Amino acid sequence: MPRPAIAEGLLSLVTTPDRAASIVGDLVEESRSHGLGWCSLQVLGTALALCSSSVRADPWRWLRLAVIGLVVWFGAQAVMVVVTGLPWYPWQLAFRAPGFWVRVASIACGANLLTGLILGRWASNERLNGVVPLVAFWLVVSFTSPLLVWLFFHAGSPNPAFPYHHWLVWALRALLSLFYSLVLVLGGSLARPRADGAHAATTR
Amino acid sequence: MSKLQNLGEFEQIVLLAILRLKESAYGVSIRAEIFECTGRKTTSGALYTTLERLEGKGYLSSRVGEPTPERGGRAKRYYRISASGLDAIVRAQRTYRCLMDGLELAGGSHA
Repeated sequence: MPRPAIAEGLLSLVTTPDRAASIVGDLVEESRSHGLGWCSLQVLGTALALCSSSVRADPWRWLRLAVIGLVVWFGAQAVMVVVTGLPWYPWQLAFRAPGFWVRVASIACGANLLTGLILGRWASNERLNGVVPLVAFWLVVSFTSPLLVWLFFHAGSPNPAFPYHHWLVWALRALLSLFYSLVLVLGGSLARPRADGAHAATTR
Repeated sequence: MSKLQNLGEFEQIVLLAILRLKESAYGVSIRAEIFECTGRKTTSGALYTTLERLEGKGYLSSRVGEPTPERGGRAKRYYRISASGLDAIVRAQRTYRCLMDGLELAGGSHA
């Protein structure tokens, strides 16, 4: 297996760190008789299977975690706006503020990282990392909301001013959600304690 | 009706493989045992979700072994069947036997 640490990090999102370590250990052991493609597929397949099993076992818990995640995310956004000192009203003033884009980028990165850290630490004893339902929510909403808005309000009466008509806006929105998700996952992974006892440095 | 009877086919296979392996049942050996006995290639996703589910139901318990260098310093997780797990598999097998009783499949085209 080429990068067991990445595989372990990915699996740690959907199971406890010590279990993720033992699963990756099993795959490392089996990797001698299989190729890189097989190992990557097994890691992705296991992560998806554990994720869907968790949703099927308790969908309300997922919903609850996603709602809590959103509340924390909005709170973190507010904190970051205050920290960066970006004037938020009126908008014309915000656009003219010095270093506007730097501050906006700081808010986006900082708020998502902070949310990931809080959710990862808060659900550190659970099998599922607290950021996963929020990440799933972001991905689903970001990819489907432009389609739903278009279907309900603009299908049959194309409006050139409607922003989602342009595929680029849609793609940017999807990329933005992917970026949010990556930073959230980074924060959640940093906050999650490492596998205790299941992963230790050994010598040959 | 007891929940103990609600074992799926793959859950039974996994429990039986663990029973056969005794103290050395961990991910790799369970998968190998299933392949050897059934010829079925099990994906990691199916195996680990089933193990987690059975552990959640209280049919299995697990312990972490010592980290080994050939696994990149990662420990094996050994599984052991619990009393309720044993009870569940015995009940499930008894149900099969009861349903099979009186049926003469041995000489059939699928024998």
